[in-house]
Amino acid sequence: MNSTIKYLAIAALLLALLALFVQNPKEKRRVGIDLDELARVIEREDDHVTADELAAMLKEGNPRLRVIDLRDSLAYLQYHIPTAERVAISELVEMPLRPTDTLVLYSEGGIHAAQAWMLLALRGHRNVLTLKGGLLEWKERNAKNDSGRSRSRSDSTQVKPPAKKFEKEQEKMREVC
Amino acid sequence: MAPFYQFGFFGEWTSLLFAFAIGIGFGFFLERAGFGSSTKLAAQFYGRDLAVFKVMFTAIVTAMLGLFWLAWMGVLDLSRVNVLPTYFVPQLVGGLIFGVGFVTGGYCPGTCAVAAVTGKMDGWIHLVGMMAGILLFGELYPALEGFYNSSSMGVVSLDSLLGIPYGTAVFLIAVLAVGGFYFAEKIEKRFTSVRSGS
Repeated sequence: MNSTIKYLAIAALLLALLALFVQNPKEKRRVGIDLDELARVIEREDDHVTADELAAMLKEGNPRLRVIDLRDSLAYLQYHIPTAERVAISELVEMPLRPTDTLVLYSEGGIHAAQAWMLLALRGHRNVLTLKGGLLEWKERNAKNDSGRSRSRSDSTQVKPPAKKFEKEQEKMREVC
Repeated sequence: MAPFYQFGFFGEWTSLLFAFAIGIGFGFFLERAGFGSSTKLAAQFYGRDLAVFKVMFTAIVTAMLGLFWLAWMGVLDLSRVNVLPTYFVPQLVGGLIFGVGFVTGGYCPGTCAVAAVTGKMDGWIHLVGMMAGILLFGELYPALEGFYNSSSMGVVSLDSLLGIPYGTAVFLIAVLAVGGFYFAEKIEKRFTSVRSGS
């Protein structure tokens, strides 16, 4: 090893050795809370979106929109809202988020989503919404739309079936519409 | 406070400009270190030239110490630094495929781009193969999604996994890196002398 490398190695080891004795920087966590502002957001109902509003947002195809599923892996794999990512609440606190992202959180009914919303609000994130009524409301909405479509389909003319490649995407978009 | 983008110091386009500048620096130093040569890269697997190992571990220790001390000084919010979650089995399989590709082709993703832009045909072929592989993965994703998301361990760091303080993990990795550097030089001398018959 040449002398420059030796000195750099010694400096690195010294810094690493010092790290054993100082306070863990992960324990330093800033939490800034403006309770009045949070209360106003909740009163104005700016903290959530309805299933119809979420469907419209998904149709727009905004790349900054992130839909977060807070349920367990099994429930997520069985069914999830198109484009949703599965994130556990414990991971949400550590998850890095871009200030330009808009998050829509959902759980089965909505309680966990509301709790997670509060955690993110305490972290200073403002572009976070919850899905009003949770996945139950989303499924109810889709059920209504499906029954509406099946009534109109019986009156419609024959439509050429889509190519197999796009069937899955079409299935997902039908849920959104 | 850093990360600057996370705290809104600058927007999307400025962050892309920074990424572009960092990318230029990264490519420049890869090429200067000789990592545009598949022979040099593959030589580490035969013990003849462990430059990749030494450079990578130097980068790891530099970033690790930088993150620790900047966070300790209060100028960096560690909770906003992006760390990908661990998906144990998919990442094990992905690492295996990557390792086979690295030894077979002699390049990893960054270095094949470096080789390609310095005019090496094998770099271009490796790059095209890599893009084809990415496209194939994208087309097969619906079938792979379940496996891709399986065995999630969440965001895991060494200190949380081993149940040791963060500072202790930093110290152990630094010792491992410096020790590895020392032994890498010994290994290189041995394999080079064996090869030259001395």
